[in-house]
Amino acid sequence: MKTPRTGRTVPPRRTLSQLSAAGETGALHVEGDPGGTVYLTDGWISYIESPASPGVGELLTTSGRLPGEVWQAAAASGDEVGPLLVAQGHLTRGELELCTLGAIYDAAFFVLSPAPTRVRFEAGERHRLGPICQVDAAVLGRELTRRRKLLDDAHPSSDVDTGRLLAAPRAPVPRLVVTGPQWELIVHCDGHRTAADLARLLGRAGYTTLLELRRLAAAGLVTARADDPAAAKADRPAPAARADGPAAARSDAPARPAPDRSGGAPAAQKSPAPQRATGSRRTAAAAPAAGGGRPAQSEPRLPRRGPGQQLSGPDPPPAYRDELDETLLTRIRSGLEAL
Amino acid sequence: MSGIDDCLVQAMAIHGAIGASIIDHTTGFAVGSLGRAPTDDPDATWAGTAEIVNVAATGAPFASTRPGDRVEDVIITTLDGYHLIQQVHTVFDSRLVLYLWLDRSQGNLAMARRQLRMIADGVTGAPDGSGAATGPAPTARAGR
Repeated sequence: MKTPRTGRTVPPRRTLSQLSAAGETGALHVEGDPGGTVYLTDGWISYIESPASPGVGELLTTSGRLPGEVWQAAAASGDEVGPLLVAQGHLTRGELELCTLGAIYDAAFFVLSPAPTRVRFEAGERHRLGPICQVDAAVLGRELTRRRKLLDDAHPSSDVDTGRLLAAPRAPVPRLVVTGPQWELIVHCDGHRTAADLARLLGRAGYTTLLELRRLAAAGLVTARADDPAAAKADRPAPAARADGPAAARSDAPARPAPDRSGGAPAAQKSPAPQRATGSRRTAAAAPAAGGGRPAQSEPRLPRRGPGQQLSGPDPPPAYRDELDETLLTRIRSGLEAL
Repeated sequence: MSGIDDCLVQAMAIHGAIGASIIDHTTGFAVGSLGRAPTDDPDATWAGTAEIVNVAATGAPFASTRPGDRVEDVIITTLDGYHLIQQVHTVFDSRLVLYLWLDRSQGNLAMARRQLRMIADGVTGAPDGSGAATGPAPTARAGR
């Protein structure tokens, strides 16, 4: 079943247009970060999935359009999940088509990046969503070029595309106007999450998330953390393995607070603003950290503290951990739903 | 109850319709299109539609007068035609509008606006976006 297109490093878009021109049916697996898979039916693109963007199932369940059980039951019961959901009256044909088209174009932006990478084509492999719509590879290619330009027009730096994101601790101007989707993003920029994490957490398209984040970066409201991008990448596949960076500093804080502060400071400093929303939850968890952390922490932290923020010193670590747990649970849930 | 193509066919059946598209207003990309576009330049029409929607929805506080408010449609009247832009509300994340170009001498703006609203709601099934609850239930009741 495997074609000889294995191991060569090529721009995935070129391979895709060759396969499309040849009228192939199968799955083009694209390696790299984030990578993904393009499904072809008689040369037409029938579906694309990528870890960087929510798929049809995630869009429908995260938004509450379908209960998770309905999606899972449909996914478990047959090979054509989409048409099955329409036939059973859970979705309209229009919703399924619009959702699928949106997911295809969204994932394509990440899978078909211009950089050469390893690709592998499995002839005959089909996606379980079933036949819903057909997208022309050339039309898709033109749209992706346009989308890339829109991003650069919004903000030329691509730092926020892959880095771990922080909301600005202070507003850069006295009066701000943000849209609803921008507000959601700002509130969830906790110094840990990347653009892909936010898209999945909020059930929003990956590309529009990038576009909003670029706009927020241009406005000085969101920045990518300057630390190693490798750590951010390692986060995505294995959230539990976040032993580096501020996570380590946090868990060690009660035992030996002094040496860790330099590492944990950037995160702790940013935390108070976005964490206000989870105020009630952090109180319980704050107790253990406060005992060991407060006396030693207060000294070097003082110069950075704003007038109304005296109590923020010991608080961020536990609140931060709550956020982490929530992220972890959300990921586990999406992982299970994807099965 | 209908797919994208049916929706566009229904929109073109509105009296005086010259062209119809479903446009993603984040990027100005048309997920479907039927008929003609002004000056026969569909790309410019879609990009312009996206820009207008974004200005109306975020550039001015039109839709911020009370919680839950939102832009429902944008209507542009020219000497020669009507341009109707209706939001397509989906429960899942999407930023879509239905655009209809009407001949001014033949079209009836009020009628067309109502019909277009029904078509836009028909694509997604549920008028209030409460499809998760109402989707399967009416079918079951109708069967009895």
